Amino acid sequence: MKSIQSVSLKFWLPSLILIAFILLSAGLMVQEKIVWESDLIKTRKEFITYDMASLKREMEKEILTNQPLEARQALLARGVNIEYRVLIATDEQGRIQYATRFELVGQLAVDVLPGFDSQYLSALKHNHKTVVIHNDKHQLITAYFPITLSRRPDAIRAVDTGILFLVYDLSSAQQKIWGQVWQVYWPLLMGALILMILMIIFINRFVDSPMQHLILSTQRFSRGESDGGCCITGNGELASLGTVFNEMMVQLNERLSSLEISNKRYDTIFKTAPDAIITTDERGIIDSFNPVAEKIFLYTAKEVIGKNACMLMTDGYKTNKEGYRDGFSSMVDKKTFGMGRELTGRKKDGSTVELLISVAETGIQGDQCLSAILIDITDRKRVEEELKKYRDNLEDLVSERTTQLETANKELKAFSYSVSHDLRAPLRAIEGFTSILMKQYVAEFDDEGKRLGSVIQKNSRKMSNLIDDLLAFSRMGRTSMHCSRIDMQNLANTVFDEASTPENRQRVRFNIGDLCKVEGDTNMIRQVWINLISNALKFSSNHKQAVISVTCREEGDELIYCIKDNGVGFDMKYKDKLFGVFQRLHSEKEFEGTGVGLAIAQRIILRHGGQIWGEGEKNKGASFYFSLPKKQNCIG
Amino acid sequence: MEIEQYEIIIVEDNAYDAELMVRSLKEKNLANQLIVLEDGEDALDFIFCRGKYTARNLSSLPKVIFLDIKLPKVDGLEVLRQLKSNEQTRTIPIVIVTSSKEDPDIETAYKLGANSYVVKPVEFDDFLKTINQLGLYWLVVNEKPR
Repeated sequence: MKSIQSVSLKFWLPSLILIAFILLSAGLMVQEKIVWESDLIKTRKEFITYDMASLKREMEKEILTNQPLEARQALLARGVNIEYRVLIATDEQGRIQYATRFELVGQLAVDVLPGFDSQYLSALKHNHKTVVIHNDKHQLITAYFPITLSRRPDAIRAVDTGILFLVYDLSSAQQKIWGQVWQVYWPLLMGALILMILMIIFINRFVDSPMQHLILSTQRFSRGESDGGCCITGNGELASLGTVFNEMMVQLNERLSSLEISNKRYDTIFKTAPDAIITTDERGIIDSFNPVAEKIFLYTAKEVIGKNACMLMTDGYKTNKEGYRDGFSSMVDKKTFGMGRELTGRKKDGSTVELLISVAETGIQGDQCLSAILIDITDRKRVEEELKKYRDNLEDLVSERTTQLETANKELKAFSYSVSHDLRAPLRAIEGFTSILMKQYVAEFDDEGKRLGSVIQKNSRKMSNLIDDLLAFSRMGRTSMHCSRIDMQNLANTVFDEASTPENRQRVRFNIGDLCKVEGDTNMIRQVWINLISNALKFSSNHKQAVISVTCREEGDELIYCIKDNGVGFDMKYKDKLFGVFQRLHSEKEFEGTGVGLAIAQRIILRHGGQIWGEGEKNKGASFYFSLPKKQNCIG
Repeated sequence: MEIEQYEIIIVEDNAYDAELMVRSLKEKNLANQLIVLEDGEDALDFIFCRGKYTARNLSSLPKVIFLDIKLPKVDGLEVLRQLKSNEQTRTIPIVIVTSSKEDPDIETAYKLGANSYVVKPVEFDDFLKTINQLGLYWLVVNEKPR
């Protein structure tokens, strides 16, 4: 098949036909020749039989009439024919009596003629039959005819039966046969040849030429010079072959172009990816290595392609359980394929690099290829470490600060504890013993002495109040908050009832609007109301028709409460002093107080994330506002 | 010196406070069988009949102990703890009498088994009233365990 494939159809098909034609013609010609030959032999035999019989009759007649010369003449006349190679007549003993060649006369035919068979002498003498033998080997026909030669007076028998022997040469006649056959056949051969040439032309024109066209198109296509198809003209199969080929080309072109785009895209990704991309075959032999990989590992692609990927790893990953190296497979458990895994790589210079690797397996026709994407996370690791350090430091710092705070808090607690114990005891002693003095020894004092005693008592009481308020103020900053929803309306009402005396309630009109509910620590907010309402009552105590009104309004995420009185008010230039501890805007003579109430209220409101402020005018009353967020985030 | 039977034990390091208390009780004639001890250790020694009080009879228990919290050596809460964890002394009514209003002390005292917690008023009149009431209640009204 291969030899046929390598020879063009244009040549091998006509050649095949030609060979077949030649063989067929040769066979026909050989057969024709054989037929003609047998015809020739047959006609020659018939001719020889006829001619010999004729000669025999002539010679027997001449001899009978005792004219041997005439008989000889008749024989010689036959001898002119060149095909009569030997013509003799023998007597009964085989001695030649007449011959076309004179030198043979008188000799024994057996001696001088190798083809002569003496057995026919006696055989023919008795049955008088003729024998014609064709010798194919020598292209001869030998003929034996019985002939009555003489009737001589001295003869024992009256009739002497000899043999007329002829050797007929067929060779020239046979040679002529080929010429005759050829003459018959050559027009036939020429016709066949012309037919063949026409066929070659036809094949060339309608089969081979489109085929060549197809071949050239395919070759152009394979070289990538395709212009999108070929045009095969013609009918039937060839035309549909052309159509199918064109369709195939179009499809192939589309696929090729999409493959090309895909390849280009991959190439771009491969070259411009910010991460290292390394691909290996299933044994871990590296087949591609992108520029980032070069940068990370310090190897050039040429240095690593064809080598095992294990060279890029630290010793720990080099061999698997079975002890053979298999590249990335040994580093990454198949279960974790596709997922990131951290590992340590080794650079060309022997230093290590922290990597995040993601491996994917691609199977193409049974070959497993591995693609690995590696990210250099050395910096990230370092930053993580540093962050961890900072975080730990921060935690240390926080715990240190917390400890300091706790210590400070403890100290503060101890301080207020000792204030509450140790400052009270002497006060009690002063107060107690003064009291005893004023009761049991009252007779020994004059009026001034009694007044002085009461001054001591009054001041010690005041000192006690100051201590109580100071402790309360301090406690407000420390106690934890427990938030709940507070019914402000109810709370303000209750506080007013508790803080006011019956006399107050007669003199003061307490107007309370609709107060919104709010979230906060009930005890603390109650303290705010106590302080504000007490203040309002206190500073309007000189007024015969005092009015205290409590209102509420909503502003964004906050609720703003207001308590307004028509009491003595205050000068706005001192508003900054309102909320200071022990800060008072009125004299002790005018109004009693320690100056802690508003400070406590402010501390509570601030702890709730709100604001507190006051507005007032001297002798025209004061308004105190505090805002609270609607939602509390109550932690501590 | 003969060891007497005491009805009231006052544990108070401040001599003036102690004196005021004794005076208050005397007004109602309740200070007959009363002893003032100045620190926690002394108080424990006295009650458990240890140290200089070895000769005392442990079985004679007071009707009430007025115990201050802030005391030298062993503080009031520790004294309270020891007394309340001893089988013999746990039944003695103990009234914490202190200057402190600090919440943790109140809670701790009750948790340890204090029978009452009283803050000494600063004003002498109030103080007088309070001590009088305490004396009357614990010595007269209240029945001592047998």
